[in-house]
Amino acid sequence: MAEVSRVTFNLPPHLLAALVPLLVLLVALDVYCLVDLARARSMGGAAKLAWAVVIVFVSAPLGALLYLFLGRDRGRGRPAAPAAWPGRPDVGADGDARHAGARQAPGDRRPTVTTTGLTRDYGGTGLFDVDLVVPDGSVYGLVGPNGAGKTTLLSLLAGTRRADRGTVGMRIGRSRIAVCPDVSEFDDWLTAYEAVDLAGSLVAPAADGQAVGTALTTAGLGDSAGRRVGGFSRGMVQRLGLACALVGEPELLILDEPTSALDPAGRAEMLDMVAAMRGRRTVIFSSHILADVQRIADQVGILRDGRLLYQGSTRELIDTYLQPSWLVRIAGDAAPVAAAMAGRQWATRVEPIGADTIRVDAASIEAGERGIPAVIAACGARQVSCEPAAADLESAFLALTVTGPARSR
Amino acid sequence: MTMRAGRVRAIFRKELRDYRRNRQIVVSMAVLPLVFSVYPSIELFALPASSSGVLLHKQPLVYMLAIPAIVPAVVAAYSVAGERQQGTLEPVLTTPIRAGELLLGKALAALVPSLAVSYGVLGVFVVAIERFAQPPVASALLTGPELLALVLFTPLVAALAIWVGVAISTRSSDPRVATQLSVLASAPLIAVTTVISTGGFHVTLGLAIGLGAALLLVDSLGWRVVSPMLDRERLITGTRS
Repeated sequence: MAEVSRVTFNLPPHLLAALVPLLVLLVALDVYCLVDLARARSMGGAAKLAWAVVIVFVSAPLGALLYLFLGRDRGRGRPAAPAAWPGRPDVGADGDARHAGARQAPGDRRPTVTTTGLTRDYGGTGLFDVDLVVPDGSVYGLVGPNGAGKTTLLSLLAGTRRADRGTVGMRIGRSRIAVCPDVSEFDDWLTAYEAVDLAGSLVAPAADGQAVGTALTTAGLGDSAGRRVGGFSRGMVQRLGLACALVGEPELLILDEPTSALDPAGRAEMLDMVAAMRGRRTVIFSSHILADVQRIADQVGILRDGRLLYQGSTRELIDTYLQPSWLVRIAGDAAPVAAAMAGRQWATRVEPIGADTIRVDAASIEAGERGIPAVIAACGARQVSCEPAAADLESAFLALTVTGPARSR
Repeated sequence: MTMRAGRVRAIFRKELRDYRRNRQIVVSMAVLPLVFSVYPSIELFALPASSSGVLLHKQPLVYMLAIPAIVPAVVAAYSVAGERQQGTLEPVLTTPIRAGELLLGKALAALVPSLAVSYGVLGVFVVAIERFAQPPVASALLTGPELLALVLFTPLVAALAIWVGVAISTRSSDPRVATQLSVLASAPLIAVTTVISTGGFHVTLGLAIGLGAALLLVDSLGWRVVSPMLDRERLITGTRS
């Protein structure tokens, strides 16, 4: 200590004073790095210790800068980037009747995509324990309220986000996957052809001019190939994003809200295009528009609060949540038929909707399907139509997401 | 790390197309070095013939290496952070392109206008000295070895500035911050060239070869060091992976 106390600085005081702010800055940088290091979740104790030594002892601020650029919170969690299909057996049912379809590959088709316990936690929100099974050649619709985790799930499948836990299994290689964000951005000065050509060069180097032209035509931009993207409408940019995704002839196409920027005609066209891909390639798409999903998706996954509430056939889902309620239209006055039905034990409610239409709620689907035609026949009335009152995806979706319980974390 | 040349070429071509379509970028890159070359040029024009002897013992031309140190820093700083802000990076990052391929394509593309500007300004400077300076001054200033060294060191210095700029760009969330930091990071290079050009120390042939070899090594390893810095998730979503 006596030696230390004899150390003196020969620098003039005003120069020392000028160096104080620099010293404070360097110390602050080191402290910041050390605090950040202490909070890093991904590193083990040895790695943290090594980085702490670098930060403190490598000549300031080089050690701190090395940590900031190279060591800071890298490799968090297990990467869930698409991997080769591992060939493991499919997982079984999880015992919850509501999730009965959630872990089964419908039909005999082998899955193109599977996830196991996929989790990305943004501090309470995100995605939790998702076991996805996307059959080969299917059109898989992903629906859920805002913030349900649809985009996070698609990003994890695409490999643009990393999972905290869980794995993604792909039967195909990364180069056979194409991703189309909801509305892609392109440099204004690029022509549509150049934008798709660039995408082709990155995804499928063998793609030639014909492939670019085909992709543009398929996306409905064949006539705009030479136009600069800067003059495109939002819908056209969305189509261009699709053309970029299609140019490599992907086996798996991931579409995030593919119709969000399209007008009704464009939307219908896009949906037809996606529906036509069924069997030729696997499509996973997210949408808020349930009618779109019902129209083209043969498989559906419903997300709420980051959890997969249902997964399986769209038809089965609708059937499961089909209410025993029908709209019956009669040729002529429906009042006598309504009165007759109201007297039956199986009819829980009979409500006239108009002069020729009544709504009939039954105790069960079977009772309604047997009872309604019998009453109409008994009344001598002529039936124009009889259709389920609530047999759409929206009813099923609402039943699941509004009243259905989420799996506990 | 395997690298697909086709993807690097695709990015390189796209970036070059950007410079070709937006010529103002390259023109504006040349303005600053030209302006800052004016004052030293006038000083040299005004030198009497008798000062040529002093010039023989200095290496004032090395000052011109500040141009490849600072010009590409701005372009490189914009390369990732700027595209990210525009949103045009996302479609590229959703493809199977590797970070190394993307950054190498961008770095090579940034090198082309940087070299064009650096050599262009050097050419203008040499012509102006030949035309307006006293002949003995011009002879003392424009020596073969120094000109050769300038020609050879320009791409090496530019490449270093590019890798530093790209590295900062991959970690910055705002292109303005990236630009300012990249220019700041060029300061040591500029300081070295200034010290040499003002006679602070004399660069011998052996030292020049050593420096050149060191720069070549750093430049060739640049993409390996910078590539891991590119965090796809942070660039797309704004959240750190």
